[in-house]
Amino acid sequence: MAKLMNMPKIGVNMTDGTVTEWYVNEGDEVKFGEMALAAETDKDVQDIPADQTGTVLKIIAQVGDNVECHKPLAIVGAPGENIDSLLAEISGGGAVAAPTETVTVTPTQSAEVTETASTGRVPVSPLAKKMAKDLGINLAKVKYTGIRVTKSDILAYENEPEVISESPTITMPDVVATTVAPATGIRKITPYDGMRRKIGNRLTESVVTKPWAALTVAVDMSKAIEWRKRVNEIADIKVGFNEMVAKACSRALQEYPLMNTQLAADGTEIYEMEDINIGVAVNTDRGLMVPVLKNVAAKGVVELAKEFAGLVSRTKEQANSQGDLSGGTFTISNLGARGISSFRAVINPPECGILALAATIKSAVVIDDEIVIRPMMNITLSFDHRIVDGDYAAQFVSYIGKLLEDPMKILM
Amino acid sequence: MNKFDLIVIGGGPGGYVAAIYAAQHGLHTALVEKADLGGVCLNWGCIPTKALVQNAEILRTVKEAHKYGINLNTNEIKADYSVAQKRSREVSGKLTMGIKSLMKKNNVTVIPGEGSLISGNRVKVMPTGEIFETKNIILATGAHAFKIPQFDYSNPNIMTSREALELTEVKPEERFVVVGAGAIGMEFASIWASYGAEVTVVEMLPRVLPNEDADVSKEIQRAFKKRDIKVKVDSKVISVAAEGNGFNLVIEKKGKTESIPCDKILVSAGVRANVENIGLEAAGVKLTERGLVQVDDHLQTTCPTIYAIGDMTGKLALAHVASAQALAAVHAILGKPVKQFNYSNMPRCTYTYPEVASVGLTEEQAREAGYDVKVGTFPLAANGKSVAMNETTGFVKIVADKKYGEILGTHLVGAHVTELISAATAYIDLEFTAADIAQVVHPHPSVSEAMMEAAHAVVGQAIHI
Repeated sequence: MAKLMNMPKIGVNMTDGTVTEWYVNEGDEVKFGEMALAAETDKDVQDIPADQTGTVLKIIAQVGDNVECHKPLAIVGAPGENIDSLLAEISGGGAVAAPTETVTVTPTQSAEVTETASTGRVPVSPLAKKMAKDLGINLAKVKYTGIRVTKSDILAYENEPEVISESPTITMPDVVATTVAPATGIRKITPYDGMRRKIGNRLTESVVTKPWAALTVAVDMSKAIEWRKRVNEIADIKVGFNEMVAKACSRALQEYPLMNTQLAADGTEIYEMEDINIGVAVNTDRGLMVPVLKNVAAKGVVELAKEFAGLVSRTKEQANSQGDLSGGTFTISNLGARGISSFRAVINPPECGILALAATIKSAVVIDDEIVIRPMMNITLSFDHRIVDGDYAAQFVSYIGKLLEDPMKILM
Repeated sequence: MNKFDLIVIGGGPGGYVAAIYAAQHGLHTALVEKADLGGVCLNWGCIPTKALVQNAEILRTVKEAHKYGINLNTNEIKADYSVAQKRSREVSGKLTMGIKSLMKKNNVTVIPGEGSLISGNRVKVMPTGEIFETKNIILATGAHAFKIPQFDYSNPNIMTSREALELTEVKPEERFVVVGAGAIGMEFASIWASYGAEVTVVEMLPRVLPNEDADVSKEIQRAFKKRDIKVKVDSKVISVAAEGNGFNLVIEKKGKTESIPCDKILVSAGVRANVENIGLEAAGVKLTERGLVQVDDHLQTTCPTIYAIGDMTGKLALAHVASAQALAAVHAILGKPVKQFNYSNMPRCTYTYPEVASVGLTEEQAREAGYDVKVGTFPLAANGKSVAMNETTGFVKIVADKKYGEILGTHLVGAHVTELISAATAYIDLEFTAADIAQVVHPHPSVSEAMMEAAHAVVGQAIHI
């Protein structure tokens, strides 16, 4: 009997995958465990094994489609088998999560493919690729007839850029087109791809999909500095502010669990996450990376410091093991070392919040009607306003401030 | 009355391919053919001439064997053209049988006879007069040689390509005149010259193979001259008169007349569509001003149920074009998407010695179209395999657009280059740029390396010259 071949969950933190390539065609045989397609997951583009054995009767998720784990990729069965009921089931259940999905179950009916996926490879001829690069055209937006983007598609696009059809969910622009007048002169052209593009896509997704707000609290860091000094006297590893703040955040997230949440991709559910995993933004040669400290609530700062040192060195050497860069439930970004006095960070999707740590600067503050000098740090929380209200977020961020002003409270 | 989904009229490389493809896709299909399956291509064109070309090549090789230290008594070399002709008929016969079995295998009903339209859904087949009903019709009746009116075709020594293929004797030093230096005329000239005939080619336009790139024409003209084939371009036939056992052909070249005494004349001045007596008017199928069947991008005629393919559409009178159109027409009938043809990107082959093969625009056409043209040429004289084979006549010429290195055309002259043009065609079809071709590793030693070198020449500079 025909069965659905679903997107398997091949990593602990994998939630979904965007199909980048099919290794099998309709009519081909697949075997359980054999690689059937490639998909871009939370980590990278990975080979995805078939979870069924049989003949591929219908490919449901096309290249560019984003599919949640356990949702159908294809229908597998015996050749010639009737799959109408399965197709009806799928189309009724809204199984494919891609927002740009237009034609899913009957792709062979139409030769015209609208390629609007924000990620994934676009099939393109060498000439069309050169032209697109030269003309500053984002290939993902070019509509093509046939099997790939060709010169005529580029010319057609140039004459009439296709407006991406608005679907009920927000369509994510991969690149917001800005045309550079040749007269201004371009000194150097760097391809917007790879890591840079990946970062760009995530940030764009965040800003476009999340109605966010930011709240800043000035924190007196006197006791925190003292506390850190004391810890470093007795610990066998140097503990940084990042680990201290991570620990404070985990404590606050326990108190305010609505901040440790994610909105489901289809926007119908809010997931409160079991663990508190805190990502820390790190600058590397390849760009911004976010290694994740796992289960922070259960660990002490010294343990966190050891873990963090390992994570950072692995990230910089590109030797990350599975999960190093995924599974975060909250993120902190620290630009203190650069002397930044205050900033707002962009939320790392699909998380609910990010805390921006500015520089600790000696400032004049008024305490008990007296002007005193204190090492002050501005911390700014950016949060997903869909999930939490301003007052709740304000309580959360001021609680972090209080914890840092009196680190003993972290232990309480 | 027998009812079909599709009736194809004409069993050439357009028609029979359409019939097979339609049957494979579930259409109840019939094919009406008045003569032999395979059409002109298999019976009176492409295939039998290639058999003769092969004979000519063997003869040339044997005659030149002494250059390689293989000493034959040249007086004892006896080339019997009648055997060559017989072999060419056998080859055609064999392939025609093959088509017959393909029809059977694919359950295509073959209806022998002359088909004509009664309406958009009815076909009458003569001589029985039987009428068949069908949902759709594909016309594929082909074309015939154009007969220049000046010549008396009742004279057996005045031939079109059809009669030329029935010729059983070519005597050494027999004098042939070929009127029209297109692919067909040039191929016969090349074959007969190999058999020792004295051949003169007369062409009205300023160069031989006038549809090819000017450099190609120049190279072939030079190669023919080396083989003692006389070439008269810019020359118009004024008159032809019987003289002794032969003829006196008078031509005019740049205001001067010249008489060419000869024994046999081949008139190869293009083809005309077979559109007479097939009931086009009855079905409302209109012709263009040039007497060709009018079709749209889907090969649909002005009668919605009728499609037309091949020579009668006058796009490019080549067998492979007809076959490609056949698949497209069947797709259209099945309601499947139809790939738009770019007829300029169809490969074109001429089996002279040396051979000519091309695809895409000539340099001149590219310039006229407004491209910023960059040409890369590589002579076979600098190609290792060609030197080893002692076949150094010819070149590879790539016509590209400067901006992206887009390949606009590829033109080949040389021994067996017709086998190379598929790669050049694929490069254009896949939209490879010159830089892409240059990066493809071509095997050494091979003639194909010349293509890579020509691509290098477009991008910058060829390596081996």
